[in-house]
Amino acid sequence: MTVSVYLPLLVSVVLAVSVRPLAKALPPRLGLWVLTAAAVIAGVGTVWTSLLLGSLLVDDIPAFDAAERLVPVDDMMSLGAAAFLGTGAVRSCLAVRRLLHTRRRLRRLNAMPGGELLVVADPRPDAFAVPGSRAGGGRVVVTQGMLRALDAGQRRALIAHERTHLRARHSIALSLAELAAAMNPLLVPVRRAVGFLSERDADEGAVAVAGSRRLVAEALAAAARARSASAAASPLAPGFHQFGVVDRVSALLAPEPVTRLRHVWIVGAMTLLAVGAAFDATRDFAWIVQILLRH
Amino acid sequence: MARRDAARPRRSAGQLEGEILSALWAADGPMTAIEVQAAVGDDLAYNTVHTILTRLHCKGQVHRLGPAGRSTYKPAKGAAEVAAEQMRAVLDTGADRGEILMRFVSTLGAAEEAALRAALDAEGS
Repeated sequence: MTVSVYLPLLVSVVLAVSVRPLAKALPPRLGLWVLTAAAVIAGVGTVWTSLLLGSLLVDDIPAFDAAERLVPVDDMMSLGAAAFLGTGAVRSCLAVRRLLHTRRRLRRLNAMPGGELLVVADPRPDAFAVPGSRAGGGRVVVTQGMLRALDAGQRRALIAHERTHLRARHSIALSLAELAAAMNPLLVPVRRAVGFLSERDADEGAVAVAGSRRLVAEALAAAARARSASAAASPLAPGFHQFGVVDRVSALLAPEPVTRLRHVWIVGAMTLLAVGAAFDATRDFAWIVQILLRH
Repeated sequence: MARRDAARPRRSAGQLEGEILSALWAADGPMTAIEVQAAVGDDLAYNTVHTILTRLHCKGQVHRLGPAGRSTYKPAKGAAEVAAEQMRAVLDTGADRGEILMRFVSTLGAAEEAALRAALDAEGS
């Protein structure tokens, strides 16, 4: 227990530190789901082991004096775990509320009449996919400003990109990663990486339809320039994004796909480690509880 | 990566509808089916373009003007105005800050702009 109870936390730290180079080398479709699973498991695992650590404060209750020598954990650690749990709980509630609120808003866009492509009469260039409630549902929302900024081939790439988001159900991965990052703030970089891999996957989907990697790269560049030129397009400070359009364009123009399957195994091994450690810690915890009950 | 141009997969109906509708939106005025065919800029058959325009017309997404055979098409604007209000309502609440909104591109900083140009030029020359 002295080691295993901290392992999910350690795995989260290692994931957070290594996720940037990992994300760039993972095959997008497989990688985004493997990373999402890793984030969820690391998130839940950390919450669970924190719960175990926190409940070991029980040894401070006079009636359970016997527990004092059984518990191999410092009180400070237990208090830290409790604080971590509290923060995670508050952040999770906020995240769930935000997700539900956004979904409700987006549902109104989904309910608009028309086909899958919803053109919006707005001069500011913008485009995004609005997830639906079932596979193949959802809308592609594009402003008139964006359509005018692109040529025919680039519009084809844009539509294919957003349709890939919908068909591959990326919104599920993004929501899960968002919740994992709320439970465990260490996983925020992992959530960003899942976002990046979703975009990469959609870019590859666009390549499959448009037939040219360069065309998709140019569509990204044209759209990004149009968005940046329209000053009011986004209140976000430029450079806010850890993974940007440049990374996606580089990936599209790379002569050889740089994806490595080996990295999937690395993430998988880390995830398994977190699961095993959580089980081990649970077993030890159950042993302590058993002895306490016998007294 | 092998060149995909030779074996290009057929595009789905949804993709084609989107391309044709977006071509109409990108244009300055009403277009004939032949103009749409040119604006979509690919090897699409005239019949396909015509079929999809008719389908879009039936769904109320485009207006058809003029006599049959020499009709011109333009996108229906009403729904788009309402959609614009809805979109602003979504974006103004900061929905785009959560990762759930899958946006095509972010804005660029000056450094990113330069890096982007370098990446595209390196390959092109």
